[in-house]
Parts: sequence; structure tokens; C-alpha cells
Amino acid sequence: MNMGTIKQLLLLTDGCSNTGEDPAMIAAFARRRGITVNVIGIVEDSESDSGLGEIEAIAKAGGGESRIVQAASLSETVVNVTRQAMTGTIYNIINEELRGILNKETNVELLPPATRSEIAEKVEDISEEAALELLVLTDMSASMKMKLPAVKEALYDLSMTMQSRIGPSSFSLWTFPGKYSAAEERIGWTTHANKLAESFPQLLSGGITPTGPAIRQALSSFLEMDEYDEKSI
Amino acid sequence: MKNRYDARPGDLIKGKWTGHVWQVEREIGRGANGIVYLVNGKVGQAALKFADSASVASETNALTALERVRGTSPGPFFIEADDTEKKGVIYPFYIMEYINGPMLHTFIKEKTDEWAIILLIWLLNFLEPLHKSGSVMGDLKPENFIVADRGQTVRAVDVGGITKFGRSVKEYTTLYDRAAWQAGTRKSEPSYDLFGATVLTIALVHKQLVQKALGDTGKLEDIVQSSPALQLIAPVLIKAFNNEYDSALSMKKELLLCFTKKNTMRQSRKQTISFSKKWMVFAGAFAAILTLFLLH
Repeated sequence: MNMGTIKQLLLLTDGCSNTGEDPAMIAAFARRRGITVNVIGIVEDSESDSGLGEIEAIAKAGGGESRIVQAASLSETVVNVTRQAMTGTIYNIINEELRGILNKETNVELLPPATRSEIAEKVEDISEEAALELLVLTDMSASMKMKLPAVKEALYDLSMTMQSRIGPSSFSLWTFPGKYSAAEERIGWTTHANKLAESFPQLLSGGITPTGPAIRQALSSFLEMDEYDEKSI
Repeated sequence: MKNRYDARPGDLIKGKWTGHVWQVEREIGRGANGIVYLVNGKVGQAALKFADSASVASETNALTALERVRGTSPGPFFIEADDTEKKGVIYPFYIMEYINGPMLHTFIKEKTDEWAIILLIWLLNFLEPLHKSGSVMGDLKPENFIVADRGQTVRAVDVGGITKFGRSVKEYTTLYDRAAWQAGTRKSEPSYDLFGATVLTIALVHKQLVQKALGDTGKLEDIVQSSPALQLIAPVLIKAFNNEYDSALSMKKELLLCFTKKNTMRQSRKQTISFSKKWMVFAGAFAAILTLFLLH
């Protein structure tokens, strides 16, 4: 089976968007384009749960994983979410194939356990060897200030895992809000995972949180490669 | 984990595929990706783990791979995988052997610090056949191991981190992770586990100091050098930080050599102590005689 390239957008934020279109809607668009959207919400101990519902909604619409964590456990979460979303994508493809073969509503989870184990082994092989394009989109609004060192560390950690993969991987880093637009590209597509943490900016951008428009803009980075016409969003 | 199956003691869990029924005795573990219960079934006591479908599938693969390692599995024996249904929702689970015994950090609480060295030897005994089978343990935290067979061997109770050589380690805990210490990659190879086993050993004795040192193996070296319990095996531990061992066996050999050296050094120190003690008694007696003489 040719799995092509696994495309993921990882959104790191600490709360609710407050301007522009609904981020979940944009995430659903990404999903239709074959890009999985994962979201990690970074909270403080005492922080209230406002805006956390949106985090789950974005990931659900984007076909990806969502987690809400404290800055201290961000590193392991970023790695786990990326990994789980990759296997999730592969399972989705297998499920579609199954439906094609069996011609009814079915999925891997309905198969006997022994068959599932065999599939799991194949899925692991594929997820280790498939090509990966990962775009990290980081919220740099004022409230993120105390969390940025943890984000930088998590990106370093992620790069360690990605460098140990067998398959080829490319990475890109975007932040929002941008100076002149919703989001800004900080690092263009590179195969050097370590660049994510090394060139992570320490300067905050401002008060507004245009999550929806930021995702939309970052997506163009994937879609440019597919001769994509931005007007159609 | 989404859709947790919360079972209470006494609950019956019926497998959809096998028809087997398991009665819950109590919860014995809970982690990010599942809950483990002690259960009773036709085969007797067993451990039942609920997790998502993909984790159940991949963990049962790891368990059966471990059994191929040698006659007695270094992990729990795999019994069967199944699903159970509750209110229209399907919950995947698997059944494995229940391994009874204390976890590494509980075990050492009742012992002297020197026992950490024995635990390291047992850990290396565990790792050796696993590495021979072409996989690493990955997640080397004390909670994942149990001292079994009345304190003879160390066995793994969580196999979620087991990864084939050459891949990126599936699961790890930051404190014991080579990459987090900036001491190498996260690639699955024997030296990754040997690094983790070393940090685990030091953390069994000096947990707080190790936590503070995270990221700096230089500080880790200082902890070892100033530790009364670990000082004498320091050369081996430091070599393991630097990824100088490529097999658990070679590390174990050097460890045993160091350990025997330690014992001979102790004996010679004991001799000097008893020698000076004799002198003290002699000098005391002499002083007493002298005082008596002066009093007269």
C-alpha cells in the first residue's frame, strides 16, 4: 500500500480565539485536504477551563488529537500527540480500504483481536517509514509569555524523536498573530528538525488571537505544493 | 484516554469474542493510556488492561514478542485479547499474567542504598535477552518493573515502550530518557536502555538530586562521585552515560568486577580499623595505669 505523505498541523495555544472565522471550520477544511489538525492547549495550574472546549472542537473537526496540559508536561505530550495522530491517519486509510473491500460500515476496531494485532504491526511499520510533513503553529499572544520556554523545550524534544525516525520528515514553524497578517512563517520547510527549537523566536507578537485565520494561512504552506488556489478557501 | 471503562470490585467483564468472564478484584494501575485491574477467571488470578484498540493490539504484540525471548518471559505472559460491550460502547482489553511483588522504588525503601547495585544487575539480566531479540525496553522507569520470584529477578509489567532496533523509542519518561539528558539520540539501540538503566539506578538512591540535574550529565557524574553507595561503581555508571557499552552483558561484567573490588577495599579498611582499635585499648590501659601510679 502506498501511504504517500502524512501531513500534520500542530497547533499550540493557551486559549480561545477572539477574532476571525471559526478555527474548527478551517480545521474541517484542512481535513478534507488530507491534513490532520492536532491541538495542544497549554494551561496553568489555576487557570479556568474557558476556551478549552474550542481546543477539542478544532481537533475533532481536523481529524486529529487534542490534549490539555500544563507547561511542565508539554514535551512528552507533543511527541505522543504527533505519534498517535500519525497512526490515526494510517488507521483511517485502512478503514477506508476495508469499506471498499467489504462494502459496508466497518472498521479495524470491529475485527477480531488477533487480526487487529497483525494490522497494528503493519501500521507501526508504515508510521515509522512513511514521509511526514509537520507544521507547528504556535500562539505567541501576550498570555503565552511564561509558556514559551516550555514550548521551545518541547520542540527540541520533538526534534529528537523525529531525527530518530526511519522515514523522511520535513518541518515548518509558524507563529501567530503575525505583524502584518494573521500568521507568519518563521521557518520554511526544512528536513532539519533541530531548526524548530534553535530558531524559536522569544518575542511575543501581541494581544489578539486570530486562531482561525492563522490556521488558514499556515495551510497555504502545505497547499502551495499542490498548486493550490488560495481564493477557494 | 477517551471512554474509560471504570470497573468496580465485583463487576463481571464478559469477553465478546471468547465468552470468557472476568471478575474484578481491584484496580492495580492507572496510566495515560489505560487502567489495569486484578481479575479472577477460569485460569485463576490475572491482570486485565483496558486501553484503546491500537494500544491493545500493539502491546499484545510486544508481549508475545517477549515470550519468544526465552522460556520464562521477562514480562507478563500474554493470555488473550478481547472486547467488552457496555451501553453500546466497545471497550478493548487484554489479559496477562498477574505478577506479584514490589515495584523497584518500593523494594529499595526497605533496603540499604547498596541494593540499587543489585537491582541494576537484575535489570541488566532483564535487558540482555530482550536486546538479543532485537528490541529495547524504552520506558525505563521504576514503576514499570517488579521484583518477582521473592527477590531474584526483575520483570517488566508495562511493555508500551518496547521498540524494535533502529526506530524511534515509542514511550519514555523524561527523567530516564537519553535525549532529554542531551546524551544521545532517541533511537532504539542497546545503549539507549543502558543509559536509562543507569539513571534509574542513581535515581533510586538520589531521586531529588537527579531531578534537579536533568539535562546535565556532568552533574549526574558529581552525584555518583559523592554518593557513598554508588561511588565504587562510578566508573561503570560514567561509561554508561557516555554510551560506551554496546551490550548489557559487557556492562554487567564490568559492574561485577567493580563490585568485588569494593568488597576487598572494605575488608582492608576493616582491618585498619581493628588495628587502630587495639592501639586505643592499649593506650587507654596505659593511661589508667599511669593515673593510678600518679595518684599514689
